[in-house]
Amino acid sequence: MSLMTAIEVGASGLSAQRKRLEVLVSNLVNANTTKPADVEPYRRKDVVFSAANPETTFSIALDGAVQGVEISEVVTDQSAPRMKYEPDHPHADKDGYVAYPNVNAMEEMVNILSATRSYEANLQAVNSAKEMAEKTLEIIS
Amino acid sequence: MEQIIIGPLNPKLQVPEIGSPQKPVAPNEGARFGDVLKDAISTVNELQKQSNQEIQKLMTGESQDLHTAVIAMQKADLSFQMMMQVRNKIVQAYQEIMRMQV
Amino acid sequence: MKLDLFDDLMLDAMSAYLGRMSRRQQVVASNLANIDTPGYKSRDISFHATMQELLSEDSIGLKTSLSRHIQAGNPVSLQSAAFEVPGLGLRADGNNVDLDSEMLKLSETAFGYSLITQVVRGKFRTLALSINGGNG
Repeated sequence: MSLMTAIEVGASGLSAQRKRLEVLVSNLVNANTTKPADVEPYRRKDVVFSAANPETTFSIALDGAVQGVEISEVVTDQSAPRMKYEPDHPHADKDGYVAYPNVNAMEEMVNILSATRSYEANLQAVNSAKEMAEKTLEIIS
Repeated sequence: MEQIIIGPLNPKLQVPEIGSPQKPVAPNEGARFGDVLKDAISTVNELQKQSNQEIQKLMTGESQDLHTAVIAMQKADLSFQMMMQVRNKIVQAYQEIMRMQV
Repeated sequence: MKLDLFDDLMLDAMSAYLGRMSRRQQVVASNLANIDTPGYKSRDISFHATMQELLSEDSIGLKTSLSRHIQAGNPVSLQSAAFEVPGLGLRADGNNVDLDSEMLKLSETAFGYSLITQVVRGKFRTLALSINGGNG
């Protein structure tokens, strides 16, 4: 069967994990940023993965056992911001509370680690298929 | 199954020693050479056709099986080489015969 | 008399094996791409039984067996029979893909493929040598 399809499936995984990574890094970087009291604080974002048929260069019907992946949407976590009592903070509200983003830095770091591992695994899948194709051509040499 | 006289040229691949010395051939054996060559040519044609079909399938995307095309190409190539060897031996044998009659 | 140069080389069985390994890589790639997809279940292909069947027959029986498979409707039946892998741990999002076992499958498959391509290459080279007798 086809190694090209394996490469395309792996590539879709790389693309999805990269998008996820961007969102996670954005969360982490903004974990402790605050905004003036009348502005919405940063809210945590997340990605939704869904299986999708890869856009193959050749239109070969896959039999359902092989699927690529895509990020079908980026969602915002609507849970409440973390309120901290810091009356001297320039962004404190009239009660002295500052709204911090609903991001847990530790959690985001763990997620970043996981996304990195998944990215590397997909990279391995792509490279492996590529090597197999190269080996095949060596039969002719 | 006819006997072939160009050394131990076996249909089965057990080291067909084409390089080995050949015995002189009488004229009425020429027909057998012709048959061997004809068979070789027809095998080559068939395998070339298959090889081209596989390559075409790859190009149109009908198949993504790289290994099938590559193996077909090798088979076509090797059977061609075999045919060339058969042809060369026939030519050599013919030349020997011509020399003998002078 | 046809030149049956290639009969003893096991080319059909090896080619089928290469096809299956390629197919397996596709399935593993699919599992890895979907390792974070909610509800996705890990897949694999079953091929050992069919490979044994192929290898135990002589070369003529092999051709018949292969064409029988292919004529049985879909060529996919020879190559895949994908199934959902049982007995894997389920995570909160309904996904059961295990990264480590998928990586292992990748290595196994790649190695097997590499091995057999080398065997095929070697057989063709030996054949070329015996045809040309060292004269190129």
